[in-house]
Amino acid sequence: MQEPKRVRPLLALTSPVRELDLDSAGNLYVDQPERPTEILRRGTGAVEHISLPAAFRELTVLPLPGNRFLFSSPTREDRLLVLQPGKEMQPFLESKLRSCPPFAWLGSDQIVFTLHEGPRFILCSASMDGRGVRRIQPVDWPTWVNMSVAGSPDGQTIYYAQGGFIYSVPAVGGGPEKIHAGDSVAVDPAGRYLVIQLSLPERYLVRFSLSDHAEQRIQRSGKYRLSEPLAPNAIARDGRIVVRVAPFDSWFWSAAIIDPQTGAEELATEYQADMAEPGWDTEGRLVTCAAFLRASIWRFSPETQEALK
Amino acid sequence: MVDGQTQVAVMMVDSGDWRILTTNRNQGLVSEVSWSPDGSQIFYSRVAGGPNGVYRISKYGGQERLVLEKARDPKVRPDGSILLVRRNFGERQQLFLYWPETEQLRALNAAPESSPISAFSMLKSGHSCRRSTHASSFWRFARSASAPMAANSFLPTQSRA
Repeated sequence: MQEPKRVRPLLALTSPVRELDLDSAGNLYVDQPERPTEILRRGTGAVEHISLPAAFRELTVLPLPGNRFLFSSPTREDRLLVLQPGKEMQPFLESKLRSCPPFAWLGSDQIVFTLHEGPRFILCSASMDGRGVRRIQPVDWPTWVNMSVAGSPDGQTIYYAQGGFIYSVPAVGGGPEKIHAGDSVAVDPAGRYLVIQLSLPERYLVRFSLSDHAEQRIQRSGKYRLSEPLAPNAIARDGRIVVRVAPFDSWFWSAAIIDPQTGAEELATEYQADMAEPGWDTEGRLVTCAAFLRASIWRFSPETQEALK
Repeated sequence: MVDGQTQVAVMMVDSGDWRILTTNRNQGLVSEVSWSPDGSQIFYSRVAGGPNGVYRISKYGGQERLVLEKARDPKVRPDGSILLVRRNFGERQQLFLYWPETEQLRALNAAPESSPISAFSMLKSGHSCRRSTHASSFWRFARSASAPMAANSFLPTQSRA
């Protein structure tokens, strides 16, 4: 590989650049997209908007008791954070352990999350306020992005995806058991079944009974294409499933609700925003992080013809 | 963006006047536009879950035409051939050269990142700069090469990104 030639800053910009181009006169065209991000929470009334700091982008969020939300850090540091609207963001763990997604509820009073130790990822549990960290199971993931973990409502079992299969492992530790093919997993709030997302030959959902291991493909209208991964809390108490989808007629990844009885699919909101791993909170409200888009194109003209050479 | 869907539009930069050319909402979002060498047409991808295809439309509008199915990120070269991304027989993303006149498609020994293959389009010099998966580096595709090229024709010209 050749050494780099001289690199010279041309412009200081306020947003990351996605596209740039030059015209024949040497004018430089640069886009400046902004992604203002909010938490959307939808119960029976109007959709609530919960503001997030400017640094946040489309991120996974897990609702916690007490109107709190668990996030991954918007910076490169692996650090889980807890947001309570109107208050300063707090680290989830008191220690400086490198913590990252995926994360999920484990029973009613614990969280299962991921520690990043050297090159390894380890599934761990802790209380809802980040105390009592317990290392449970190393996982062989290339990255934490788009990985999946879920916890049983009784707090006894952790389910996770690895290498195209769903595994279960006791929360107290022990040998993992391969239970089904799949790339992400959600747990029924009553603990009776899992919903597993598979990606080949196309993305689809399977209902997997935890009592007799019977499985049934979940019928969908096909109105939208499924995205991934499934959130661990994607199943509502009434059985509806919320997923991220790619509508044919939209640039955005939206949240959609599937009625598994009929296969009907409807967008959860009409907002034009990218929504990451939408799920339900314990009060039956749909919660997702939504990244909106504001974009502009700028033209910069060289002061001299030599400037851009 | 029109009602949440990207479409192709043309702007007269000096006046700020612009016009939306495409209206189709059923074939997926528009991404990665590229002018034809004579400036009469615009090539672009439509994506819906995966690459739907490369399309073209006159700069004056009208009906959009499918150029090549299941391909994305077209960059039209000065000789009219198109550098684009398509899945190969192993279902992996790979760079191809496509000649619309003859419908000849030739694989290049290079693969793009998952993001659009270019941060740069054809530069004044006639070179196209690409970011390659293999080395996370920028690569230069020589303008003068009109014939299908082997892997060693890709010359790294910038530092690792």
